[in-house]
Amino acid sequence: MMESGGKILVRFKKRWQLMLWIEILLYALGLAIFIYFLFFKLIFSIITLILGIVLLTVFIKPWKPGLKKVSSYIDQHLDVAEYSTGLLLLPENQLSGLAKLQQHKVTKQLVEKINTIKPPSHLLRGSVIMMLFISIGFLIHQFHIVDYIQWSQHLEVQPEKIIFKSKDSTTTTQRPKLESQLLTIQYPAYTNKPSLKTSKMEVKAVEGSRLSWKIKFDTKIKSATMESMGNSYPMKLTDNGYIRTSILNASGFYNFKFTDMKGTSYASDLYSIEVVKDKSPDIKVTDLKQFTTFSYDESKRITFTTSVTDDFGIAEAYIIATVSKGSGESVKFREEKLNFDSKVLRGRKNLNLSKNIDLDQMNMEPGDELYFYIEALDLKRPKPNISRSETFFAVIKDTISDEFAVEGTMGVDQMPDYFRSQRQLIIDTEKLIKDKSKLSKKEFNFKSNELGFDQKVLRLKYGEFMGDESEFGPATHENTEVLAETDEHEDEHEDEDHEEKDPLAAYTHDHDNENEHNLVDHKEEKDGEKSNDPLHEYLHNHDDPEESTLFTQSLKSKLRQALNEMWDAELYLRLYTPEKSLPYQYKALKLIQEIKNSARVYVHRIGFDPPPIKEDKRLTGKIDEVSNFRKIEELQLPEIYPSIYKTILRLEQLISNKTLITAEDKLIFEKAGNELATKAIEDPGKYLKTLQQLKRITEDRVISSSILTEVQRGLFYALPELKSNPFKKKVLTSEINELLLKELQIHD
Amino acid sequence: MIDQITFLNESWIWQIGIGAVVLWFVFGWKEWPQFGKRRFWVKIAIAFFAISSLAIIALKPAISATNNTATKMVLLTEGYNKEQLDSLRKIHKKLKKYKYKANHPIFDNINTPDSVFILGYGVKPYDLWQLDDHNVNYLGRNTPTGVVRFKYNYKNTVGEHQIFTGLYAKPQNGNKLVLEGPGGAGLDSVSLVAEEQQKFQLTTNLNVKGNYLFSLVEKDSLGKTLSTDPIPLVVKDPTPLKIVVVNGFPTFETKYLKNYLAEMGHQVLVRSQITKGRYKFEYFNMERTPMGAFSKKNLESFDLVIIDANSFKNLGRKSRSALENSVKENGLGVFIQPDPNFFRSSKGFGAFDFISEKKTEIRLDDPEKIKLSKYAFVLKDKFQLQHIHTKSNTKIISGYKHIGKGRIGTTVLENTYELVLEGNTDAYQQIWSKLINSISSKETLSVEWGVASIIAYKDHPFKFDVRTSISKPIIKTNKKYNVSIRKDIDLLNLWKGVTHPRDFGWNTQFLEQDTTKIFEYFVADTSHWRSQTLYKTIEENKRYYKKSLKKEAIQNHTVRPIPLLSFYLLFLFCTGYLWLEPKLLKP
Repeated sequence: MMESGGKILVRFKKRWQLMLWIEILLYALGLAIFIYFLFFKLIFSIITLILGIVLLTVFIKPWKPGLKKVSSYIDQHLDVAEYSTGLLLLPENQLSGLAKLQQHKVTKQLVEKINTIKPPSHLLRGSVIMMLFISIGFLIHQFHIVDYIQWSQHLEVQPEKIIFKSKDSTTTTQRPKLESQLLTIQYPAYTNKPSLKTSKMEVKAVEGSRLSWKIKFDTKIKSATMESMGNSYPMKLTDNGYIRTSILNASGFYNFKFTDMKGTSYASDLYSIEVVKDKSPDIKVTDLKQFTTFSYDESKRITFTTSVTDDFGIAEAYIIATVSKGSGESVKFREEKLNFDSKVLRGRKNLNLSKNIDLDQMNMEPGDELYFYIEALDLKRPKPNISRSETFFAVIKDTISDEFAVEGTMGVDQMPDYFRSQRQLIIDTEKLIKDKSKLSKKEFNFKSNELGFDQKVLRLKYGEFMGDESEFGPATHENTEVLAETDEHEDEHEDEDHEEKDPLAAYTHDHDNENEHNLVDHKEEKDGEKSNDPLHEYLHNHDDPEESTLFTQSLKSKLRQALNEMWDAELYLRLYTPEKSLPYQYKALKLIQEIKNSARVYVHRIGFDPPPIKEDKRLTGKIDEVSNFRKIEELQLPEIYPSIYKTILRLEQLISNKTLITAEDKLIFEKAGNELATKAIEDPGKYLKTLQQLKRITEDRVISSSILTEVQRGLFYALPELKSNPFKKKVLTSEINELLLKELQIHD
Repeated sequence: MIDQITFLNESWIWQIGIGAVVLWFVFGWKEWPQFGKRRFWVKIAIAFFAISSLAIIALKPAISATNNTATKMVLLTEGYNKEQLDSLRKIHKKLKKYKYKANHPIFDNINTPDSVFILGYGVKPYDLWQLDDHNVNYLGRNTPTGVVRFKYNYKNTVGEHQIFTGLYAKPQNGNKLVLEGPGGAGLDSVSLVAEEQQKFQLTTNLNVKGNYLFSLVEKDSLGKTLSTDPIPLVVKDPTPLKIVVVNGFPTFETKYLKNYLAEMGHQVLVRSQITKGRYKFEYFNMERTPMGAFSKKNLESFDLVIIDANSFKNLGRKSRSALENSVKENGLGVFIQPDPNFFRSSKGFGAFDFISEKKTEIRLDDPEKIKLSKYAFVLKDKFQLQHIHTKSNTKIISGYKHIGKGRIGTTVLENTYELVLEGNTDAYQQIWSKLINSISSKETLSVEWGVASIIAYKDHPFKFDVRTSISKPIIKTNKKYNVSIRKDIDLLNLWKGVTHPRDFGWNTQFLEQDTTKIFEYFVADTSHWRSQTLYKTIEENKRYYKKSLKKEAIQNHTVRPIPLLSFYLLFLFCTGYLWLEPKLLKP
């Protein structure tokens, strides 16, 4: 029993130690996670974890609770122990009888009650602290407080004061000291930006900002001026120092200059002014195709959303829509300004707008076109920046635009009187197929046959353009005939149609070839005729259908092809299989449309009509009046930045020979400075320092060679990229080389 | 043993010997009255000893000893390895140590070792002669770390692509080599990889003329500068070309080409035929000069003739031969603008062989990889053909042939002006400048200076050579000192010399006969390009001793003079006796 009493104490001790370890871990973990949120570096937090554990271990000493401490703790907290747990630690043989009794009793009590007490630990405190660390870390991370702190620290860095250097280095008198310098940038009202006060003299602000400089000296001075881009502006004297204000509208440079009461003048370094242009609004249309076409029976709605963004705020955004009606010369336009469905909030930087345009509401009819674009204005004053999106098109397809029309290129209006167009035939055929179930077989066959006839009429009409002779009488007569005809008749009729050429032709797919063959035959005959007829060359022979001049060759072959397709289409209609006929009809329609379009192009192709040349002047070969022509020109491009090149060279000499700058050098440097300034305006940040240093070395001061090196480097970077240029290479021809070349050529 | 004794004044042996014998006889004659006595014989004998010791003193006897017993010496040069020295000493116990000092005598005259070990980087090249007669064992040292080789054209022209190549021994991983221009402007860089040796190439376009000091800077991975070595460069303005363009009819190709060339400042004459016997002459950046049929005289001033294939084919006999002679003798360049018929053309002057192929478009091996249109041919690679533009080194797009001093070239590219229209002006200009550069005639220099090293060191010998057609050139430095030069045995126009520059920075020297041909070189202190100098020293040493090894067998023994003190004493005693003896016996 004594053994178990000791064991209980040991177990209790271990539990105590374990809890202390856990506590350490909790603190360290909380700290580590906090660090992780701060820097987002795993390595940092691991280091913190280890460090924390080590430090806390030293501080808390989790190994410290020994058995004695445990027993005294239990004695204090457990009444049943009767301040006798110490007895459990002693070996039994050292104890008196009474002690043994007590030991036994305490052990018994302890076994029962040991679980009611807990070792002293701060696990709860540990977890609370850990949670606190984690949540603070999370908050810092969430609200970018680190960035903010860094940023504000960054702001606090004050630039050095304006340094004035006297132009005359010999004066040793007390020079006026600059007491304060202040630059106030008032941004244009529309930007909603607070005005900025800084002692940093480099300006970078939005176009139209109001800049005011204020410099104050400790003593009275004669005058102060501000020099900018070759001009000098006097500064106004007020109680608070010298003041000058101007509106920012162009990038450039400036420096201050003042004269003290003794007439010595001082100048400051150059500072840059950089204008940030207010950007035009950016319009993005996301879910809209550039071209949208609608059939007349569709619901004609265009829905789209636009996102408009601007750097300082959007003033307005709307849609400009133009509807065009008609075509050719009779086209009419109507412009409308549409507002978005969602309201445009003035001054917002980011807008998501949607619009639903119903073409029917725009009074649009088939064939009409709608062009529209989105325009957005920003808040800039006095003139806002306007930007517009690309133009989108919406067209309602015209139902009748496929009609064949022969343009005015032909001398005679050969427009046929009437016939069903190929398009109509297709529509009717499709309708027939659709209604097949509703119609009786006879009715169906009859309609199919009728369509076949229409197809034939159409073919014949086109055939007329080809110069084909119409094999039948007028269409009206044929029509009546067919109405009375039975199916058998029809078959006969079909045969009749083709008998002249080939009875099987209509039923074969070689139809095209057959026709082609005929064509060749014709030509052969023609050739024969040609050789016989000496006048052939000079005649416009209209008799030969192949030589009809109504269309150009390519058109003719196309039309021939179209006719062939029509043949096939008719064949299948007559066989009461309109489904099979449809593809041919479509092909024919496509070809006809192509012909129509090429006829249009043909009109446009006619251009320059040269004046007739007098026959007697033609091809005489006399060139007496043609004389030699001489032209002398100096095309050489002027050298760019000549002084910069010279300066770089001169600086190299100055650096390596360590000689003094002469007045002549200064002149070159000044010119180089001017050249660089023109370049620097585009990119002040890059060249400002070089420009400042260049200005410094043109003035009479002792220059260290490191500055010269820096200027040289700056100028070197400013040099433009050279264009590749051939030049005369220098070689030394020795006799041996020449001998070798000669030998080589001899043995070649 | 006796045959190993030699006399240093061996050439005097007869005179001294005869003199001594005569002296002895004179002595004998003087003592003759005492003939027959014992004293006489004693005196004669002692006189013999005195005279012979005198003769020996005059003749300076010496012992020539074989090597095995003689001394060995170790010469410690810069950067020697202590361990190497120790192990050497273990083997050769009686090793003499000598620290090498540049430009000082290595051996005192008498005490010459027969075998010399050299440790360290080696003896300066200009001291190598001192080891001429010795058996030298160069134990050497490993290559130093750093740039051990660096090569570039020190003299160049504005607009040219300057290439610097070098070899870095034992580079350290992560370090960078940066090429810096004037004022330390970074132009190009190479990162080093840990290897035994690393080749590198740096390039830049030169765009300012003058004498500049570029520098090769080594930086570690943190951007800290480890070393800076100067690269002197002399950049000259380019000389514009004089070009004549002959066309049967005006073409766009020529129009754009002439605009480009004229804008770049070249003198261009364009002659295009308007009709039979009538021409249009355009002169750009030049005076009006007649240009009818080619003659040797009117072609003389031109560097390049650009002619279309048809005009070339239809040249008159006289024009053709004039053109051919100008090419052969004056080094004129001819560029033939091809037309479809040209590819089938015949043999003779200006004929090229082509292989037909299907492709009519090509991308050259340029960085831009712009598509160019070309005829359906490529040039056939023949022995004489030099390539200008190639496609992956197999297809030759443009090329030229040497004809006499000049060149004739052509291309299969077609309508290159389209590049300009498409906005690829740079590519267009690159193609044509490369073409024209390689074909146009070259200026022959009357004087050309060459150097062995990129940099000269103050007070150190600096070798240079000069190629000139001037028969007896005299070279002077800017301080008006003459520099003696030596003519090459094989090449008549090559002269070599050595100068010792006295000032840092740019030094100049020139030919007295033509003072415009100035040679400029940069002088630095020895801390620059150290690795390269050391590497060169090692190489020089290795090469030199390889050469000297052959002498080993002959130079096997050394001569050690016998100390003469004993002869002096002998002489003194003998003469003393002879002087004292009569005085002692007289009374």
